[in-house]
Amino acid sequence: MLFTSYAFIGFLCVGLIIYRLAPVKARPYILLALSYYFYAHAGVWCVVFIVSTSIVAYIVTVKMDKQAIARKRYLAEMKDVISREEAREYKARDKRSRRRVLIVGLVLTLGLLAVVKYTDFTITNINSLLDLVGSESRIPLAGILMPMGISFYIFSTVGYMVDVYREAVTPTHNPFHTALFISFFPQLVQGPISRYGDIKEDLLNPKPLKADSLKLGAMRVLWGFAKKLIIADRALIAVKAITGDPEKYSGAFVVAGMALYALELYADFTGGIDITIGTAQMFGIGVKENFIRPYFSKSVAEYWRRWHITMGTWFADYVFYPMSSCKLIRNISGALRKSRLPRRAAQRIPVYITSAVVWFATGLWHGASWNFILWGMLNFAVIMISQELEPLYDKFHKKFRFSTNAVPYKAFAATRTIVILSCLRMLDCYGSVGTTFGAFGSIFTGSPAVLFDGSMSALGLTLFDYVILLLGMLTLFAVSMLQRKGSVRTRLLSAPFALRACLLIALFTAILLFGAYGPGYDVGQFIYNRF
Amino acid sequence: MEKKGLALRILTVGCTLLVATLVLACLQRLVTPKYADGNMAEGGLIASYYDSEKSHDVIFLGDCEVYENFSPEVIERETGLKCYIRGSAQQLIWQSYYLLEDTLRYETPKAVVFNVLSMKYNEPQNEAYNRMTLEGMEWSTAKIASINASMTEDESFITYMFPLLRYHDRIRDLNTKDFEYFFSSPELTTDGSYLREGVVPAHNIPIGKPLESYEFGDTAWEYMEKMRLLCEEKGIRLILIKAPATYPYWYDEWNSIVSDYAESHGLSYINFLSRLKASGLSFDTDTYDGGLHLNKTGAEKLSAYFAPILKELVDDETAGIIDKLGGHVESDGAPTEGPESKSDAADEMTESPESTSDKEPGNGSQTDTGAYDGFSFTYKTLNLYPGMKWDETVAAQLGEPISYFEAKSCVFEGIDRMYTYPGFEIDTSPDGTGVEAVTTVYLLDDSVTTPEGAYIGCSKSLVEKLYGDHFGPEENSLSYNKGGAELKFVLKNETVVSICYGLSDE
Repeated sequence: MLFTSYAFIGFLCVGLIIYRLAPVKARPYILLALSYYFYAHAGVWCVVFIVSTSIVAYIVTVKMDKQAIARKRYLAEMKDVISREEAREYKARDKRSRRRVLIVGLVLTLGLLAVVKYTDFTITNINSLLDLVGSESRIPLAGILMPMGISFYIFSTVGYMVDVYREAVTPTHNPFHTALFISFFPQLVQGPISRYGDIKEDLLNPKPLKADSLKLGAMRVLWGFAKKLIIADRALIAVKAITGDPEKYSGAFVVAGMALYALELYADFTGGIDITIGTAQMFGIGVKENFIRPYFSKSVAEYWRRWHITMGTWFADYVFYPMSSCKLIRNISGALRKSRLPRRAAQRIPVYITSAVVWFATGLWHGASWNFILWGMLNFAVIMISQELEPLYDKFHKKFRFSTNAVPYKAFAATRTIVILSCLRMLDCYGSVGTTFGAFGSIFTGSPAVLFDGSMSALGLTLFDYVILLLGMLTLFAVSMLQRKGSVRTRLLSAPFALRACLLIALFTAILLFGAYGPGYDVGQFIYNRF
Repeated sequence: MEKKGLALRILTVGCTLLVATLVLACLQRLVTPKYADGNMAEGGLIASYYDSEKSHDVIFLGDCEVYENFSPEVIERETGLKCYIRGSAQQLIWQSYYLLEDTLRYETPKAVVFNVLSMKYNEPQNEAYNRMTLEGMEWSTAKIASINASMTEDESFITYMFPLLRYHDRIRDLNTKDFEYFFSSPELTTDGSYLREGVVPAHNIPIGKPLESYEFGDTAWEYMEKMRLLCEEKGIRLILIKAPATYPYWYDEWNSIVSDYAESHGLSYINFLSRLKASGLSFDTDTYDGGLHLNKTGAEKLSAYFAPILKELVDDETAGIIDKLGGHVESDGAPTEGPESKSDAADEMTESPESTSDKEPGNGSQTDTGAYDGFSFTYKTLNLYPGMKWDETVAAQLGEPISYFEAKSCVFEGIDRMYTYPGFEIDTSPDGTGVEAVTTVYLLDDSVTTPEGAYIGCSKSLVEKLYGDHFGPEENSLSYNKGGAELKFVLKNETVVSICYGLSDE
């Protein structure tokens, strides 16, 4: 069920009425039923995967929790009987035992993700190798269909299991609650990747609903629809035309495509997350923010702290930090410190090794293909080079008395970041490494005049559409500027009713009139849905 | 004080909702097509009925073959019978049925005249035509049922309730007519007819290709029955007609099915194709678009001929007509009446030998198909396949066609073109982007073969030998899919009577 479908709007309205009318205690069960209904729309077979994941998560977390409870009870009872040494040994035994349970859980859940997402990628690479060595035998592709949102809910589940193992959260012993955490429907389409500890109170112990949460949620959903329908799906038409025929659309068209894709991706993903968070808020559930004005970032590293935040923090908490403190990295670090390498290099090499693994995984998570892996590694390379050159930048700024806090510099840095990211994202748009490099290489060929001789109208958009896109972009910029002083919606809520009503009616009308939906438009899924 | 505050709040919210509704309603009215343009005026036909005086003796139901071929004015002048045509472009049988239900909300006519061409459609066809029929209807249970029965897969009911959702994109195409007819609709007709001036003689009329099955679909029959029973219940005389038109082809087999049905239920069935001479129609002078529809003169001629027959059927309960004979219009535009059937020609073809040595062979050359790997027919060195772009280069390579026929869409869907070459016919129509593309390649006789060696007149066993197992449960055909193309062999008595390359549904 697409967020931008009539079916979803109907589902949301009916769901909200049922949820709000139901007794507070029954609400988690109603939400679970709604979530499964929503998910079954993507294919009843998809439900098998999410149910299996929920069962594994429930068994693993409850088992680990029971062991932790038993350990605590034992240590409390035996406090005066056993020595500290014995207690430590007992704890270590318990930890090993719980780790075994966790590993089983991780193998099952991540294994499921690996099978559905990476089987064909692996087979394709094996076949390429066979081709390379001259073998004629080929392994047929499995053609496994990827269930909707599996990358997101598997990551949430893994986070939950690890948090329980770390005893950072107390798991629920109610299997329906576990299932609800994993399947909460607004997050299934494109995240964010929620943490159990952040969401459990609202989700599993709902409080009486406040009118403001409904209003704020509805406003955010409306804003999300505007971004997606007016901007993203309109820009998509031209982006598809440019990237779909790289031979025809080279040179300046590639630059236009990069700019349009930057706009489309931002409006699509942030719009989708607005709908997600707004929908959850209408049900009285707070979901973590996933973006903080990412296009205002002064560097690629900062951008990744402000874009798809829940994914970034997930990789940091469950891959980067555990890996940084693992025995192998510690040993490498120790060996480097003892070597003749400069101290700074010895310190940073282990960090970069870990970062490289994280970015490789990030690329692979985005898609089972080499273009995404390369995209991840190039992001890593840009961040690493930027960090290494930082002292040089500082010297430069000091020498020329450059204020990095001045608006022109901030604007320059933000533009630079957008340009770098747009170049990297070409790997995502064109879908293949060879085509991407071909298109990139063509940027400086031909004349930029083609953008102004009417050729842009052959991309499926008229002047009217480009004007709408420009106005949309300016509106996004203006709203981002306003957001720097706090939530626009909260301020709107305290504004006079007439003003609020006028703005919302205008927004609603703009969506209806200028939205790129209905026949004639190939309204796409949300981009992050495919990951 | 609190009560006053609450009342004020309710008033404010109420006013806001009212303003919002008004704004949206105005925008909806503005962007909804007014069908005031000359080439799309048909979209306004259905709505015109509600402005008419509801005291009609006869209601005509059907598609363009009705509203362009009959003149209620002439019928009234000749007989005194007041008629109204409730028809729109490509009006499907269930739409006609629900229009009848809708009409019965206002009046009960003495007779209903239904054009049976739409029996050939068993499924929803086209959103644009649906909207022209359905949006003009006033809201009623009949309209709701008609929408539900007519919607194609991509349509949503809500867009019929709120046309703004469908037509929002017209905001960029608004013209003066949208403002001129903001409050009122253009008056196109007073009796449901839409008669055109001009003369374009009929020529190169395509023959009807043998069909796999001549049965009408279940849905078509369901609504035929519903219409009959409803008329019976209301005491209305149901008269079935087939209006005269060169295209789409009206098969003798279809004619027999309809006449049998009419006979078995005591209905009258008049096939005007079998009465061309009697009605005095000439497809050299009485058509404005090469025989697809009659012009005003033709419509008046036909109406004058039909008027006394209709009068008799309306007045005399015992009167009845069943036209068992089919009838077609030949390529020179002259009518042919009687049972001579193209399928007879197909019967003769069954005697063709198995040998392919004297035929124009399909040599299987793939020079022009590029990456295409589906079924294709080869003529000279050119591979022809469904979906291929039809342009001047392709046309030049094929040479001058023996004949050319084009069927304009009733309203706005472009032009279907048929090019006949020695032994085969190529049908083209605009694809989704407006580019002309091959839709079907028909082999017409045994002078040509498929590249694999099958030909019209060969045996079923030869086809199976050449192509292997077919898919589908059909008894009278063998179908094969490859690369997005379907190669279909229609059989009669275990012999191939038609070979057709079309786009695969898969």
